Amino acid sequence: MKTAQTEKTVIDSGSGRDVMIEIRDLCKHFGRLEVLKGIDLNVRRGDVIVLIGPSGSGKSTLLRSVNLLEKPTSGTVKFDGCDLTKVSRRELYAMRQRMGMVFQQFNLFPHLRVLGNVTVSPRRVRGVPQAEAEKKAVELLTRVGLADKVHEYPDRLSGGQKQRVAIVRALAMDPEVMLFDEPTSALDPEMVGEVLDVMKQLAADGMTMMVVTHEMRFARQVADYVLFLDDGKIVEAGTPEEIFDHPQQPRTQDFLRKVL
Amino acid sequence: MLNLAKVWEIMVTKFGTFMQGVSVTLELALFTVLLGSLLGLLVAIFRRTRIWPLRILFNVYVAFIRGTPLLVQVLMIVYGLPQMGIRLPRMTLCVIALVINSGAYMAELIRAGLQSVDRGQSEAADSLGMSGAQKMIYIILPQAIKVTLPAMGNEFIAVIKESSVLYAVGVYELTYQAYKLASVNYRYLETLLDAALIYFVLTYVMTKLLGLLERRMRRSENRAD
Repeated sequence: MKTAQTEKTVIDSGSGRDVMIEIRDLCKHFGRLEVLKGIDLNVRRGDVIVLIGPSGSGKSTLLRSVNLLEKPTSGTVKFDGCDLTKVSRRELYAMRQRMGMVFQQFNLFPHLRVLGNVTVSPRRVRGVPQAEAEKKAVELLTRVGLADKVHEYPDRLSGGQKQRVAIVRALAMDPEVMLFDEPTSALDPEMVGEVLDVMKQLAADGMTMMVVTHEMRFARQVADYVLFLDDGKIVEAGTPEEIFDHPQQPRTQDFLRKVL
Repeated sequence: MLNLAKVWEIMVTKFGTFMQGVSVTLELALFTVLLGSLLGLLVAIFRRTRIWPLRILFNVYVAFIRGTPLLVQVLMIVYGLPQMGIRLPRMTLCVIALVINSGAYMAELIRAGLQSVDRGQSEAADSLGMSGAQKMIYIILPQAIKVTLPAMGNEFIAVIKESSVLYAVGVYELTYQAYKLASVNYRYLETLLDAALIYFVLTYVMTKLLGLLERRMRRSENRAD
């Protein structure tokens, strides 16, 4: 990185546990547009990282780089010590199985029932027997209050229900980290709570999480560490108290004034 | 002048001959659409892969077939393959020609179907650790096929009509049967009008059946009602 004034510092989510995700000098260009301009970040096992920032700041791109849905232009993304930008396709598939992702638009599979959505990956990718996969799916669905929706098709569900199914679909692969890309942004306001509740429970159970969100209250309650991104860089990072109560950078202060 | 009584008379007296032609026509169309969709599926999928020689090959195939007349293709296959020493029954050669033709159109239909599947579906499958093949088989293709099915039905109807060019290579399909009858009874207008009427009934009934099937599929999708 060619920043003259600031020396390179790696943002570290900081709890004492081992580093799960290690991002170094990550840059992403879309044509001439530089979306990420050198990100250095450690995410440690069990931590909940919340990414905030104005739209176009690169936070979704950063999240999507973690499981290589976006291929970095340069830099490295390591998961459990393995550099995802260098591995073979087969290894990448294996690594992605260990990371769950939840999308803003749910992206449920419309041709499969709820049960099929949750079991397709364990069955087809992992080769889990159908009965076993379904038993686990029902268990997980029951935990998020959707036991009665098992045999519905996604288009018969509300937005909040869809997103809970999407979370369960990711959890069915026993991921070590969950990536949430604005999971409540497409929801009607009255449904945001039910999704956030599931996420809070996950966090309480010790799941490692990276969450891009505009829900500042959620960020404050659940995050171990908050990253403020602007213009493709991590402008400021710290505990929720540090970021929300004592933001140091003018851009952070400015952003928080607008959204709070 | 057109003699309507003759139209009726020929239809009734030669109904058996017409129906022989119909059965050949339908047989051709059915085989063509079944095998053509398989070929189209293969071509559509491989046009999306990283295997660039296949991609180029199939792009050329689709462009060439769509840009040349069916009759020329049929003549090339039916007389050309035997010239190359490939001896097959006339009917088989015709099916090969029609399949090669229809496959190109099917490939375009299926490609459109594949493209209609939302990007998010592919990303969701990726995020779950699916390989390219798993993603295609379990996620993308089922959705694409559903979108493509009505167009495939239309292709079936199109093939019923287009198979009439096979009259030129002497396959006993409906047009050939009618032409043969007419060349004996000299009632070209009446006899071919009979053939046309039969084609129309076939395609009309098929259109209605497809419409019914489509509505049923849509209903099974929104099982609210």
